[in-house]
Amino acid sequence: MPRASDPRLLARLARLELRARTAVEGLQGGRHQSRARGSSATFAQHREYVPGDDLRRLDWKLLARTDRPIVREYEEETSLTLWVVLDVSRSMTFADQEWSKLDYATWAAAALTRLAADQQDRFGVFLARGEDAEPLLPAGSGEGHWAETVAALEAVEPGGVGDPGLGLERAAGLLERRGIVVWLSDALGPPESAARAVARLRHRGHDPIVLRVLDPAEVHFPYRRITQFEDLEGEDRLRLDPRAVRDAYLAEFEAHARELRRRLRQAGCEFRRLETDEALEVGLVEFLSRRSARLRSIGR
Amino acid sequence: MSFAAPWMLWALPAAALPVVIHLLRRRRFDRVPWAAMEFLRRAARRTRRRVLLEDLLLLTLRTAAVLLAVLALARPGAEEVPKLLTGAAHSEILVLDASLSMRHAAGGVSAFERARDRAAELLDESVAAEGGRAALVTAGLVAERRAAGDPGEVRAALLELSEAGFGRGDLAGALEAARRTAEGFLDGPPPRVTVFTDLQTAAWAGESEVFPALQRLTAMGVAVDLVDVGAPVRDNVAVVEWSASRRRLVRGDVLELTARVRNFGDRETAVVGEAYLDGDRFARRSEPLAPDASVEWTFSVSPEAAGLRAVELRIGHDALLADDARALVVEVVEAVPVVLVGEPARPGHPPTVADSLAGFLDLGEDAPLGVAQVRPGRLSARDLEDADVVVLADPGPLDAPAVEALIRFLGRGGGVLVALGPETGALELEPLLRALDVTVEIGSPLATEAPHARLAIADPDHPALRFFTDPRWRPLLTEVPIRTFRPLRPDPADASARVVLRFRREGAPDDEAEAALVEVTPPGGGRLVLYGAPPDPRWNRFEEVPGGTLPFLFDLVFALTPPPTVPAAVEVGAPLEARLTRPPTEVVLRDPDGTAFPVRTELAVTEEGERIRLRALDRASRPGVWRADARLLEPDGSELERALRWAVVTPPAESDLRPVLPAVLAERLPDGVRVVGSGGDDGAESPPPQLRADLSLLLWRVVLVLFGAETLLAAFLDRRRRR
Repeated sequence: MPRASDPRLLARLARLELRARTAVEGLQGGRHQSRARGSSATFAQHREYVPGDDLRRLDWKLLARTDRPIVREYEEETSLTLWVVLDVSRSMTFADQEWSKLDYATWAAAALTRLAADQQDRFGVFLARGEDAEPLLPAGSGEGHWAETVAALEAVEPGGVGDPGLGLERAAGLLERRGIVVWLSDALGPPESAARAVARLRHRGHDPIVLRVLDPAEVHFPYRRITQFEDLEGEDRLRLDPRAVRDAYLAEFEAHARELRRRLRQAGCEFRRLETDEALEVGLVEFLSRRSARLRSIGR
Repeated sequence: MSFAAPWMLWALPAAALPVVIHLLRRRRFDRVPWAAMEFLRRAARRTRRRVLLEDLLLLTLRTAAVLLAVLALARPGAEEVPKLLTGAAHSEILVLDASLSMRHAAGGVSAFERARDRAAELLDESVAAEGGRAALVTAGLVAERRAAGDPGEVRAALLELSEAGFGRGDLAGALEAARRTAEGFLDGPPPRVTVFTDLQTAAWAGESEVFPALQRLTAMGVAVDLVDVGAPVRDNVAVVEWSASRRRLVRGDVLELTARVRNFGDRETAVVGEAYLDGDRFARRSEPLAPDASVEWTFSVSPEAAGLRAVELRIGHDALLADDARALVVEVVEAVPVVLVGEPARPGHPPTVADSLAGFLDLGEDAPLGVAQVRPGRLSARDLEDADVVVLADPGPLDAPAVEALIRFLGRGGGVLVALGPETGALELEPLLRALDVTVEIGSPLATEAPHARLAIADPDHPALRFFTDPRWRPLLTEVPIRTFRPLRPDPADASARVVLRFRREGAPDDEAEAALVEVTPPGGGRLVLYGAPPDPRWNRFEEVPGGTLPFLFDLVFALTPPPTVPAAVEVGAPLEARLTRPPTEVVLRDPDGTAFPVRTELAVTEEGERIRLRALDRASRPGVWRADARLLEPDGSELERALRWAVVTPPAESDLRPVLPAVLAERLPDGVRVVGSGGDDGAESPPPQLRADLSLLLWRVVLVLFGAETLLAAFLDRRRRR
C-alpha cells in the first residue's frame, strides 16, 4: 500500500498540479480575493437568507421594502485556510481491494494540503474518530508544515465508532478561523446528521465540501458466495447469501446516497463521491475543475 | 403398494442429502469485515421471508426428486394405475397356472377363469402400445406355449382356454418356457413375466423347482410378478386315499377297502361318503369333520362277477369337484389257475411233498385256487398257458422242455414256487437256476436234534405273511418243529433276493441263521420263490398245523400271481396301460363321460419278451373310470372280447388349496419377483381385477419434471440475484 509520502504518490500529486493548474483556483486564497464570506469586510452582495445565517447580517431595510429576508455579504481580506476533516473511524478501514477507504482519504488529504501548501495557503487537518474529533496538527502553511502533516497522517491509527456526521459537527466547533472545510468520510451515518453538521459549518462562515470516500464493493456489492459480514464498528454478524440480498442492499444504499446528496445540497454544500478504485488525481481534478467553473460563473 | 427391489429403500435417507448439502454449504462461508452494516441489516430484514421461501421451495423440489428417484429404483407396484401413467409398452409373457387347484370355484368363477380374464385385461393395458409383444404359457400337466408374438393372437389363444386341468401343474417348466420366450423378446420392449397362480402350498413351498426357475428368469433381468388369483377362502374336502386290501381277488372273496377323507378348510363340515362298485352303491358313511382333520372309513364288498371292477368313493360336492370322488380297479377272477408239478406217493409209501401241498392247495371246484396237477416228466409249455402260478412240489430233476416252459412262463410274469424236499436240491434245480441267471445256494438236507429248528419271520411285510401280522397267529407258523430242512443262501450281490423266512435253531446265533424262504426276481421277468421247509411229514409237522400252514400257502400262492392287468389307479397325467396275455386286434377307449376314442393298436402294443403291453392313452387328462373294449387274439385264431378299466385319480396334494405362507414365500423368492394381489373374490360380485402396475416409469417422469423445475427455478433465482 502506498504511503502518503510515497514518491509515486508525490509524482501523482505533481501531475495533479500540472493537470489542475487552472482548476485549483477554488482552493487559492493568498493571491486572489477570497470567495469566503466574512462579516468585517467590504460589502460584496446581497443574497437570500438561509436558516443559520447571522441575523446581524440581515438587511432590515430591504426586508422592510421587499418583505424578503436578504442578508448582506462582505469580501474578506484574510487569506484562505483549508481545513481537512479526515474521518478515521473504523468503518473507514474497509478495503475490498489493495487499499482501504482510509488510505484513499489520507492520500486525498495529502493532495489537498499539498495544493494549499503550494499556494501559500494555511491548512490544517482534523481527525474525526466516530463522533469525536481532534486536531492532527495546529494549522500552518508551507512545505515544511506539509511534510509534518503527511508524516502525522501516516502515523494515524484508525479508531472510533458512531455517526460520522457528529464527528464533523464536533470538528466544526473546533475550527478557529473560517475557511474551506473538506470532509473526507464515507458518510455512512444518517444524512440528516451530516446535513446538520454542514449547516453548522455554513453558519460559522465556512465553505464546506464533502468528499465521500467509498469502496466499490460498498457501491456494487459484488459478492456471490455465502458470506458472513462482520460489523467493523460493532459485534454484529450477518451470514447470508449476498445474491439474495443484493438488490435490497443496493436499494437501501442508493436511497441513503440520494437522501445524503439532497440534504447536503440543500445545505449549500459541494458534494463528490470518490470510489477507491478511481484514480485519485482524476477524481479530485474533475471535482476541483467543476467547482472552479461554478465559482467563476457565480463571480461573473 | 409393493416393491420389486425393496432393498433399494435403504437408500431413502438419501432424500435428506439436499438439506444436508444446504446446511453444509451454509457452514462454509467467507468472512468480510463490513462497514455499511446498517444497509445490509435492513436489506436482510426485507428479503428474509422471500429468501426463506425460495430456499424452501428449492429444497422441497430437490428432496422430492431424490426421494422419488429412490422409490423408482425400488420398483414399486400398485393396483389400478391408469395405463397412461405407467407409460411404455412391455412385452408381456403370461403364465397361467393350470393345475387342478385352479379349478376351485368361488362365487361361480374358478381361479383359472379369474386368471384368464385378468391376463386378458393386463394384455390390453400393457401391451396395446406400439411395439409390445406377448406370449401365453400354460402350466398344466406339461408346460405349453400356446402363442407368442402378436398380442392379438395371444389374446385369442387366451380366450380359448376354458378351464384348468385335473392334475399337477408344471410351473417350473412353464417358467422355463417363459424364459426361452423372454430371450427372444430381448430385442424389443422389456419383457415382463406375469404368473397367475393360486400360490398353492404344494407348488410353492419346500424344494419346489419353481424357485430355481424364477432365479433363472430374474437373472436375465426380467421382472416377474406373481398374481394371486386364489380365493380368500379356500375350503375343500377331498377323498385323499382310497385303497383295497387286494388288487386281485377270487370271485366271492371279500374285498376290504379303506378311505381317507380330509377337510382342508377352516370350518367344520359334515361329510357323507358313498361307496360304489361299478356304479352301484354298496355302502354309505357320514361324519362331521373338524377343520384340518381327516376321517378314515373302511368298507367291504364281495364282487360276484369276474373281470376288472371299478370301486369308487364319492363324497358331497364342494367348490373343487374333481377330488370329491376317487376310484380304483381290482381284478376279480373265478379262481387263480395253479399248476402243481410233483410226483405223488406210490401206494403204500408215505406222502410226498406234492401230496402235502395238493392237500392244502387243491380244495375242490369252488376253491379260490384252480389247481391242475402235472407230473414233472410231462410238464410242457401247453400246461402253463393259462396258469398264473406254478408250484414245483419237490419235483426232482427237470428235463429241458420243462425248464424251457418254466422260463417262458416266468417271462410272461408268472410266479413259480419251488418246494425243496428230499428229491430236489441244488443239482436238480441247477439247469433252471442257471437258465434264469439266479444264484441261490441250496444246501443239502440238514437234520436237527431236539429241540428242532423253527421258522423265524425275516420280512414281515411280505404278502405271504399277511395272516401273521396278528401276533396271536404267528406261533402257528413260527413254533412248528422242523426236523430236517434245506438251508438257502442267496447271493448277497443279488439285490432282488428277498429273504422272507429264516431257520431258527437252538444255540445258533441269529447272524448265522440260514434262509428258509427266498424270493428272487429273475432278469427275464416273473417271480421265483425257493422254500426249504415245505410241509412234509417226514421232515416237519406243518401238516398237523393247518390253521397256520393253509393261510401261509394260500397267501404265498396269491403273492406269486402276476400283477393285475391294470394298476389299481393312476394319477392324472399318467398313461393308461394294461398287461395282456394275448395281443389285441381292436381297442376302443372311452373317457369317464363315455366319449369313445379308437386306439391304434399297431402303435399302442409293445411286446416285452413273453409279455404284451397295451398303452391305450399316453396321458390321462381327467379323473374317473376310463373303459376300453378290447378284442384279443387267441392262439387258435379266434378273438376274445375283454373289458378293460382304469381308475384315474387326482394328485392328493392338489386338494390342499391353502396358499403358501407369505413369510415362506418371501424367504424363497429371488429378488426381482413381486407378489401381487391378496386373492380373488369369494362373493357373487366379482371385483375388478387388481393388477400390479409398475410405477417406476411414472416416478422417473416425475423425477425428471422435478429436476427440470428445480433447474429452472434455480437458474431464475440465480439470474435475478446476479442482476
